[in-house]
Amino acid sequence: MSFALAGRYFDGLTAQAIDATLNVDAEGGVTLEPPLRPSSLQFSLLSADSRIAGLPATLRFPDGAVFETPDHDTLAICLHHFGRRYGHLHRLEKKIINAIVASVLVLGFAGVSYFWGIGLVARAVAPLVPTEVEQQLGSSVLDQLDKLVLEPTQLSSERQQQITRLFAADTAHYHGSYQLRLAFRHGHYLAANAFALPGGTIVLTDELAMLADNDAQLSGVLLHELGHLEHRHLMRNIISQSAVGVVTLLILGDAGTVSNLVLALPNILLQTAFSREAEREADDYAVAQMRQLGIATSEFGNILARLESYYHACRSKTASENGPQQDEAIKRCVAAKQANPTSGQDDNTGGWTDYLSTHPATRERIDRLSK
Amino acid sequence: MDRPINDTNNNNSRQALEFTGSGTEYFGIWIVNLALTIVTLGIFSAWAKVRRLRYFYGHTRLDGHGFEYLGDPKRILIGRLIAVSLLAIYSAVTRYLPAYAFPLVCVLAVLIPFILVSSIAFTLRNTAYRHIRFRFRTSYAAAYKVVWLPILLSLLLAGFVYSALPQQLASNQGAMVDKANLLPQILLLCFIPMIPWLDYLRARFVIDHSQYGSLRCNFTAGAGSFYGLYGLMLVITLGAMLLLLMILGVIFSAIFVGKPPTNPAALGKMVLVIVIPVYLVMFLLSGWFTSRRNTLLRNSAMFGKQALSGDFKGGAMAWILFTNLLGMVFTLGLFYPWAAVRQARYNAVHTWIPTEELASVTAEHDVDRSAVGEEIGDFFDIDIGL
Repeated sequence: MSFALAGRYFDGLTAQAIDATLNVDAEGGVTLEPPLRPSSLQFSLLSADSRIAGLPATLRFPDGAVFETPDHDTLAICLHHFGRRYGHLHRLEKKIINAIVASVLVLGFAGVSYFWGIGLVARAVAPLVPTEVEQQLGSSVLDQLDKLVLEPTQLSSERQQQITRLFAADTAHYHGSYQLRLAFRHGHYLAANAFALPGGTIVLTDELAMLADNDAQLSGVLLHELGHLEHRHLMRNIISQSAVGVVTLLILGDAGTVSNLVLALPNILLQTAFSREAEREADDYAVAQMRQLGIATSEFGNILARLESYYHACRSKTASENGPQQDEAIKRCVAAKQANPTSGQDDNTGGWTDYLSTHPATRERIDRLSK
Repeated sequence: MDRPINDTNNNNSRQALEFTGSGTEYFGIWIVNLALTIVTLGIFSAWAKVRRLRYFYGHTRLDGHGFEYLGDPKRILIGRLIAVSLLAIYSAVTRYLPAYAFPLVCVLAVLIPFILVSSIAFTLRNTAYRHIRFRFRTSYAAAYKVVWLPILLSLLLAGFVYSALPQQLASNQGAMVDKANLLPQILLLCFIPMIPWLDYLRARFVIDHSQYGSLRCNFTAGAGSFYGLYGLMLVITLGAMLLLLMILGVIFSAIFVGKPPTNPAALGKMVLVIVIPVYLVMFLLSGWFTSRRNTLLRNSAMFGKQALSGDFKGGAMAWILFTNLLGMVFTLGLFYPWAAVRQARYNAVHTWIPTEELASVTAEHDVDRSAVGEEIGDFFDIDIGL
């Protein structure tokens, strides 16, 4: 059995293309017509590039010469005749059913990783990060915050000691891996706020301390932050972000030039979902701890409601005050807002703004707590 | 502003590239290779990359011949493994050991020119047309000049600005700020004027050292044309933003006169009203900029004795960018093959290549260069595209 392939011959040294026919005889001897090569050679010495849709087949000679032919079918029969495979990947790529199966697989993989797999990996990996590394990270974050936004606390030292004692009492039964520490700062731009830094430091702003009516409310807030620490939310978040970056690159690294916006989208979505889930976990932790300590859990709901009133009506009004005047201004403003909820500003109506916010709506959180 | 195609006396010898691929055909290739990549835990990605590039190069045709990508997937895989390890080290160090981030950045700064050169050399060496390879005449000295000269100059400038500033500066909140706290901002501000120069140096470096077989390329534009382009972009951007701000200001003051919006849902809608026009303007601007830059690069690149030429249009480019993004967002990324093909076709048909000297080109051989540089470049987002 012999084969004839019509195509173009390139010697690999000049850019000339010469129309020619490549003949393969029954013993696998290769000759060209017209005779462009001085001697015949064995077909087994020619390598064939794998087939790509819409492109000619390419046969390469050992010396760099190339023969191009559009006749994939004859070439496939010829290669098969001499025991070689050709075009298997191309056959896989051109079937519609394969494209559908592959689409389902890819979308399924992306969905499972983003909504489940990455979070799971982060949850497993976060506890493995050494506490010293977390402490170093936490103190460098606090340094940055001090430089950029936070200011020294304006609380009296008696009040600071009182809150520190409260925190010590609330965490007396804590047996986690962190060395817990409470830090006071004037929030200023961050307003009434509390946050947990990796390594065990919880920062409480003056404004939040002023906003609280009683110790139980402060305990709720501090235990909520302890919940973030215990669930290692910050580390998990950092790990998830790295993982999303790596997975996105692995999937779309081959996508060539894709708009950065598209690449950023998975991370933004994950971020939103993650922080909402994290808040719920921290809320649950706080409530469980409060029950154990015999603190009225309703006070946690109360401080959340006060926070909402504060952010809706009082944040900017009270920001310019200082020290005890600010304490008084915040309490007066929140009381006025709570006595007359429709005053000043509207209630949070939820809707799409709710889905794009990083915290679950306060109403939703309070409802969950009362269950 | 476009340079007419027939400005030379032998206009017949310049041909536009054509692109014969189709989105539907490429979809099958892309999705099957992506699935194989996932199933093989990323190992197949090197083969997938080769198939993607072979498809796009092969369907880009000039004078009846397609281009070819000849990269070896095994070498690309090794390069990728090295790149992933480097990326892991880089992100681990910058995240968990911030104290060591600076020395690491210094090491990277020394490595980057090397990565840049290896990457360009690998890509060009593995690009062929009519079975004659392109090649890159490696010059590490020139590469270090491209990367380091603008950085050193911006550091010098920053040092000069820093020493000229008073010790204490008034911030916008009225408080006094020590100037040492502003050092990152000063460094950034002093680097910005270097960007057009860096872009120019890079383009000239790549094109001046490239050749197709025996046919050498060279770059004829000066740094001035890059400063002109970037400067115009800056002026247009500022003008567009100012105009947008004025229009939105008029609209908002008409809607919310005497009644500031307080409802979060209303605030959210207001944000949308601002964000959508800003994005549309951004697409128009980036389309304009990309097409002007593509045209400039092509018009300044000599292929032997004649220049390439480009006739990209800002509006068309912006439309492609915008609709491609919409398509990707609304199909969870499945539109990607069509988006890539549309962009490739537009880029091809607006690039004109002088063909007169092509037939007489002969091959010249170069030592093979590793794929490591290219893969590291990919991962750290060092774009080397023409």
